[in-house]
Amino acid sequence: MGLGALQHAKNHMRLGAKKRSIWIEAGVIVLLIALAVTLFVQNETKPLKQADIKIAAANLRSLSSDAGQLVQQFLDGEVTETFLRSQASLMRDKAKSTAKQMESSKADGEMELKRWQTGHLGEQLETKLAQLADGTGESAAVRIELKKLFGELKEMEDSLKQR
Amino acid sequence: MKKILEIFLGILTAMGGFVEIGELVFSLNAGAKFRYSLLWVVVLGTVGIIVYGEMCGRIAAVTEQPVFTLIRERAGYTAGLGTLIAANLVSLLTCTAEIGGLAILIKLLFGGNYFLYIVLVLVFLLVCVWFMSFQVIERVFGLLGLLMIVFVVAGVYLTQDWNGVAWGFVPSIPAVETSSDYFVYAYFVVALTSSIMLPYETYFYAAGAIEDGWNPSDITLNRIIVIIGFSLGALLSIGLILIGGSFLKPLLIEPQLPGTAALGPAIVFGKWGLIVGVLGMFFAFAGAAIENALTGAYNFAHFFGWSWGKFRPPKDAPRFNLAWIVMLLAATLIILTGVDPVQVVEYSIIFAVVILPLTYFPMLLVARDKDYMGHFANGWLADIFGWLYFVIILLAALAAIPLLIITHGGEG
Repeated sequence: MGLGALQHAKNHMRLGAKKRSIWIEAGVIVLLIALAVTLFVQNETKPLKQADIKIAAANLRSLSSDAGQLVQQFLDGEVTETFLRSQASLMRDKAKSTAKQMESSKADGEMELKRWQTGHLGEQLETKLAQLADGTGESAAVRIELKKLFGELKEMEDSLKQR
Repeated sequence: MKKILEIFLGILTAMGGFVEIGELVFSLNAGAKFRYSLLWVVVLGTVGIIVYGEMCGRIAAVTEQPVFTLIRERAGYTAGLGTLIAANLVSLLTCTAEIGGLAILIKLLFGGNYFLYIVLVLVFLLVCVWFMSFQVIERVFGLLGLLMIVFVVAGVYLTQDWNGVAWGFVPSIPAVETSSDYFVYAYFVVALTSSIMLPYETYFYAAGAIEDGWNPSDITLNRIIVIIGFSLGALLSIGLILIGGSFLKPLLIEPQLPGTAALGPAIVFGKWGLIVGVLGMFFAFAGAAIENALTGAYNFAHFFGWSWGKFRPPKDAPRFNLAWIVMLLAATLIILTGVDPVQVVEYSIIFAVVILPLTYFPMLLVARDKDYMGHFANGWLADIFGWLYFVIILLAALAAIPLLIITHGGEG
């Protein structure tokens, strides 16, 4: 075999190895994507655990306190009406998403009641925030109701804490 | 006199450009969850960004070569390409979050439709980057970002427990309610470090040094800007932690929206405090969006050897200009799908920490290589700090994803 043919065979082998390597890399990427999708689907469809409901209650508790403080500062003349309405509207979207997550899922055993209660409190918070965002609620009255909701959500969150 | 003005402007720019939406979210929440006990992390991260920022600026001034050209040379094509893809994905996610944050801020000021504002923000950013020179972009957004000082003043005004603040600078594990809070604390240590040491900051800084035509005579200027500018910038983070710890924590508010941050200046200064705070955030986020879009373009251009630079007319660097336009368009399309910008930034910060070692290791190798740097190579001090921080970011990178999963994204 001449030198030229040997070189040609070597080049051919290198090209083959390169092609194989590309297919292996592509296979690994496809496997990783499939794994990620499976984990995501499994995570979305599995029953809620105590920790998931606690996180939702904590989010709603934080939102209710945030909204109460926002209204207080509006009543004290420290924030503009546009700011109040826009911030309340953005908070409503957050509360809605958490409430929806609670309602569209299931939980195991005694957690089912907590899930339902948290979702229900989330819905109430969403309604109050919608009133602030649309200007249909009287600010001082909404603030009192937000304070009450905050208390209930804090209680729910504490009952779900695992020490 | 001109040099002094240049140093002064450089310091102010570095300070004003220090905070973006990720740092805002994590700093406020750090205070809201753990009061002042994460203040030491700001010092840790700031020294880290000073160490690597200085190396990066020095490399650019001495070799006049951009970071990614050197990464490709030192790490090889495949590893370099991996770093490029990861770095640009993080920049894209960060840019996405900044655009969403900007649209939220406009909505807070004027009301109206969030999605319409996303499109307006895109147009605003495209016009700014297209028509403004690099120096003008750097100065305008850096200097106007200084309006964020209102958060520092408000934080100081609202804080009473200065003994607690002082202890916050000493690394310690705080008293927590549940055992899972220890993991949340660790998650915040990693996330806060990452938000301060985001890789785009060094890429952009080095590219800027070349855009500004730095040479070895600018090494002292580089050191002054990096040390003073970034240290003063850290004050903004500290101010946000103070607001979180002194104002939000007693109310049990863990902020999920940028607007909540503005309640701090509002309670101290009234409506003007609110407006200045929102405007400060606007310019800080806009600066970060532009920097991330340009960083993506710089990285592509440097890696593939394209003609690049804002100093060149667009027709002389077409692929570079197309790249930043594509970055802005892609970020806008992602945020238009309705994803939450705050959630996007949380993920981008955690993924950024995973690629930090890939970014900073080649930089460290080049900075200490006498073949590249001659007598400007790292001295013993830069070497010690460089290796120390490399170990720290390596540990943070290994812990980031497990902590993200264990703590449900820092929520408990």
